[in-house]
Amino acid sequence: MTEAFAGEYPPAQHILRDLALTVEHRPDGTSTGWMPVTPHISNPSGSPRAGVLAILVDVVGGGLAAVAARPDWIATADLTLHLTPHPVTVNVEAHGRVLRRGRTTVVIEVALRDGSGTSLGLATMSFAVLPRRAENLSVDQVDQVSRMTMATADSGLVTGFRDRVQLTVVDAAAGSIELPRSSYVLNSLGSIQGGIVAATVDAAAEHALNHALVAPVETVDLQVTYLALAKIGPIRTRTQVLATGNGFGTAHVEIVDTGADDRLTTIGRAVAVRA
Amino acid sequence: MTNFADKETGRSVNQVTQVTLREVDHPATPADTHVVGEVVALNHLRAPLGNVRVGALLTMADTVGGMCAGLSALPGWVVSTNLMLRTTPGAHRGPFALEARMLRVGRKATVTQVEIRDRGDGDQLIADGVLTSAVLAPEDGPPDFARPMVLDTPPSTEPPLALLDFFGVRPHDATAVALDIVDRVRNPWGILHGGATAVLVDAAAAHAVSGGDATTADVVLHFLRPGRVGPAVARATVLGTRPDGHLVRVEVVDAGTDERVMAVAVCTVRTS
Repeated sequence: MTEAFAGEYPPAQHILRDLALTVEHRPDGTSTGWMPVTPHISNPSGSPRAGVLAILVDVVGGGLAAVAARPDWIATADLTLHLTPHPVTVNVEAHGRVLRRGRTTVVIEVALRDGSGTSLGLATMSFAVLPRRAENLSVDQVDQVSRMTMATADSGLVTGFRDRVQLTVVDAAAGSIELPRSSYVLNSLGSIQGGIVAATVDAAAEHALNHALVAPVETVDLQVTYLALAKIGPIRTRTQVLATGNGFGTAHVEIVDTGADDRLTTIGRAVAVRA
Repeated sequence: MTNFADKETGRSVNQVTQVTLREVDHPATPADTHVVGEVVALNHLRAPLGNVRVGALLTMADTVGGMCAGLSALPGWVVSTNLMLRTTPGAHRGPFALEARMLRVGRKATVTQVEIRDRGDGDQLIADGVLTSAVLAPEDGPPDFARPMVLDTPPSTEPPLALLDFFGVRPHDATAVALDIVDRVRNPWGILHGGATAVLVDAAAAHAVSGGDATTADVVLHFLRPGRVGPAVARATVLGTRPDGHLVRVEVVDAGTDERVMAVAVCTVRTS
């Protein structure tokens, strides 16, 4: 049975609710997440955007890591996403498992598949294990299969993902993108959600590589390292095209918190291929 | 067994990569730690196509990045937990210039940015990446380096072995390669050196993609558990193909410790 996700997070107006994510946690230490695929979250080719898949991965991986780290809490250290993209029409399934639960780190692997079971790629996440604080979400003992959806009766995207989260292009050719810190994209600690940060890297690299390759591209690889929380905002990207090859290119993306003296919060690398 | 008192212990792997390291000034704060390095001899590290094997580049990145992270973590020291490296396959003229700077110095973990440039090719960036390390307290104390640290290659009267011969990498079956965990491939903590794991991952990824021209380009490598007994067996699975190459997942197990998973990597392998 699927229950509505209860509690104070995410709030009623939130990207996780509009993406209609459903997550099932199992006592064997695995989790599966589902996300319906619509044109609002897809590339023009019909494949889901890497940045949106990163949000699904972050939710599945973060949930698994939080359970694995009990009674401690976690902070996301890095997220990598490696796609073999193809058009998807119904939904995406993300199957996560714990690769390691150590004293200082938790490592998660998430396999992505389309609705027919065909592989869409693989993701990994690392988390630092931290002492639990009062403001951290409580994580219940998982001794039975539990399935929860973040969708509500009136949630769902009615416009493109990037427009809805307010990813704003400052300079497309330079890969300069800005994102305000709104409650719509925050995590439970009040900073910008890790998957949204990855989506910002995706958008910046895609714009810069569109320009460098003089052709439409879509991101197939993301490597994101989280250095500090984006607490004030807006965040802004600085992008450098590292290489272009036969139908693909690689870009390095830095994200700074413009409201905190341009503090470097994130570094990322992305590979994009001609669509 | 660990032995940080002798700074050469656990550095046998450097006999093959021959990295010289130098700390740039005395850092004002741990976050300012900055290490550079150089690799002059490259021919024994090359693949049949002439490029320096990505396994060697990963080992160099782990060496310079690990030293920078370790110095920033003193009086603790570090173990690598995660290495992401993007490389540009090519002729690779050499010598190589290595550089590592700290992106984050935390109590439990550090993040280091690493770059490798080809001095013989106009300082072209041929590899760049990020090394994440966990901070630990060595039982016998940390290495005792004079600061700023300078470390030359170990003296040797014989020409270095080819990379795969040094590590003893051998085919295991159709989808796997293996190496024995002998003393010269151990690190100062007494476990399999991260560079050895990286060389094995590179070899397995290329082994899984048919054709002799397969070249590993990008690698995300998670070090999960120590390799102590061996042999270390790396098994590769091709996940799919994209315009930039084949996407390959590699899992490394310690066959002598109930197939315990030591590392997981995702690689992009290119064919010409």
